[in-house]
Amino acid sequence: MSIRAEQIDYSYGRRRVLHSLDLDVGVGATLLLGPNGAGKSTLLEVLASVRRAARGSVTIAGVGAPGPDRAALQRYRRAVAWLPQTVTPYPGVRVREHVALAGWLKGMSKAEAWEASARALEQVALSDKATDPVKSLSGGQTRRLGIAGALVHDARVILLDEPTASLDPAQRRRFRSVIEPIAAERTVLISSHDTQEVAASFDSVVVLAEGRMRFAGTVEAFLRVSPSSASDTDRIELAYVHWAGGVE
Amino acid sequence: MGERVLGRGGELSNRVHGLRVRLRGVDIRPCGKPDRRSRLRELAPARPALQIVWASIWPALAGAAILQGMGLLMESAGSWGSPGQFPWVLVLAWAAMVGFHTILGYALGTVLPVLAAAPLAVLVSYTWIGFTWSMPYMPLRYLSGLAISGCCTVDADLAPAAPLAVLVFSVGGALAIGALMTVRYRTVRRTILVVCAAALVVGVTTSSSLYIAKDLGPYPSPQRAAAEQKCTHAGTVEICLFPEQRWAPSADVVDVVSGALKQLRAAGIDTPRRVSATVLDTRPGTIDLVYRRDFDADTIVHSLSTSITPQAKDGVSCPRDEKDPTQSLFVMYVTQSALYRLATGKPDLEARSNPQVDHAAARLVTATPALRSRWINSALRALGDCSLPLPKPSDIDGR
Repeated sequence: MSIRAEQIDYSYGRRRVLHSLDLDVGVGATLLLGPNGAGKSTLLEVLASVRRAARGSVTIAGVGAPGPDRAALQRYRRAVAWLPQTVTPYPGVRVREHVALAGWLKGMSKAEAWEASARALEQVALSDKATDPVKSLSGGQTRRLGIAGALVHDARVILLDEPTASLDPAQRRRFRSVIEPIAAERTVLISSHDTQEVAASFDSVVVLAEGRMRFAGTVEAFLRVSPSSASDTDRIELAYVHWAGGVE
Repeated sequence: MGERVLGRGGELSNRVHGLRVRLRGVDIRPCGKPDRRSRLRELAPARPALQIVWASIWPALAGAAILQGMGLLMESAGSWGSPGQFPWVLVLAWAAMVGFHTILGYALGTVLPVLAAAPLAVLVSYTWIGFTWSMPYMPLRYLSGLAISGCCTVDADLAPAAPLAVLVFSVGGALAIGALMTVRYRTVRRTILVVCAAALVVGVTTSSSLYIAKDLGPYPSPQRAAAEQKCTHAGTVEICLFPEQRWAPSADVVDVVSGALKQLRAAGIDTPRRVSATVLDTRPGTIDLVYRRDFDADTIVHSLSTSITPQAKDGVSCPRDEKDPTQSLFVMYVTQSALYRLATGKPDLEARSNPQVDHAAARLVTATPALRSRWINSALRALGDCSLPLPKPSDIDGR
């Protein structure tokens, strides 16, 4: 199950942020790296069908493209899980209701969504907050709430925009432990501007800079450009600077 | 059609306005960054937008429907089981009005925080209703549905143009607002197209509604033809009522009216030859009786005594009243109250608010039969003919 983007162009007015971008991400965990403003979020939004590219196509193997009709769009969106950069909880609902609603929005029945919401909250260690109002959650908990909402409907392709941005180290570890088994059989694309994420268990890396693809390949290939004598941290940073062109 | 069918359609329409509930819009405001789409869109839902909107608003909609339904049931309770067709056109007009104001509130909820949208929706709705009411241009009142309120009595039909006008305007307005709500998801070119189309729909439906309502005047209720009545001979009097009035849950109006007139005749009072339920029945010797099916026997007799007594007006309506403008009114109230006492054998509770009238009526009823009938008959004639002198209150005591 892979997601493929071909010749994607996207602009905000006259500012072009994606330039004829090609991407093919298969089963496993892929890290999308790039400096601020590289177009990571825009690319994920195009892949999630939240934005429509001015040119180019997006397809999921076995599902198709998010068009041309509404049925195709709905089929596509059922196959995709999407965590935006900013998670804004719905006002007036409780944590489990929030996650169940996310499942329902993705096409699950109410009963299925309610059932799955407990499992998703367990995955992100929020079960003890299930009956709390979403407004009472901290920033990190809200982030985990968003992750639970993205995972609730067992999508084939999971797109997460900086999911670990406001998580503490323990929560990051837990997040990785959640993602690892999922990535074994699904396509997971996670964006980050934290280069050290590479050290975590990712199968491949994509580097984006100024709206252009600079690298796409395995972690080993990514690190190959840096001296093996350097420490892991230095190797990652040197490789990143190499591929991203020194931009940060 | 309203009261004729539902019994109290006019009051019902009033309550509909009073009970109208605005729906709380669903908060799907755009997020902080200008280039972000709405929160709903960011979720990339796999369900149709309509399904999501419905899921969001159905509890409020159900609450409003229950509230409105209870109002309808309460207001129409007196007419259950009465003959005639169900007023579907009124129900459709009601639904269209509710729909229009609902989508208006919903649209506000999509661009404003709930705390601002909810009161603003109420303000906008009532401002619109108040605006149409305050304008001297009558057809405008039909666009908000206000003119239907209080439109319908048993002796009048609701002109079909009245609910049709509000129906057309409300549907057009709702469609236009609904189209404008989709603007944020479209390109600039399509936005211009949608805005133009919405403006066109509003223009066409508004002008159509005004055209439909142009001849209705302030009340959309032409009198029913007198020929629609069914007449019954009860002794020396002929009582003509519309078929719906004959289904009487609390009192048999024919028996009550004929019995009251019999009492009055026995007391020497000149009584009408015919009692009719419409002012259009202009045959000689006919009085028009105001009668609703929820009247009990006492109320029927009170209405009959009021109908028999020619109505004096406030102020000077006859040259003879120039010296004392209140004299005609006093004689009228005493006469009406005395007629009630003679017909029922008990005081008219409505006259209690005026002790002078009540006291004079009581003295009149207990006066000698000759004096009593002379005074009342002369009052009945004089109240209807300015050239005749009014009987003096002091004459009641035979002074």
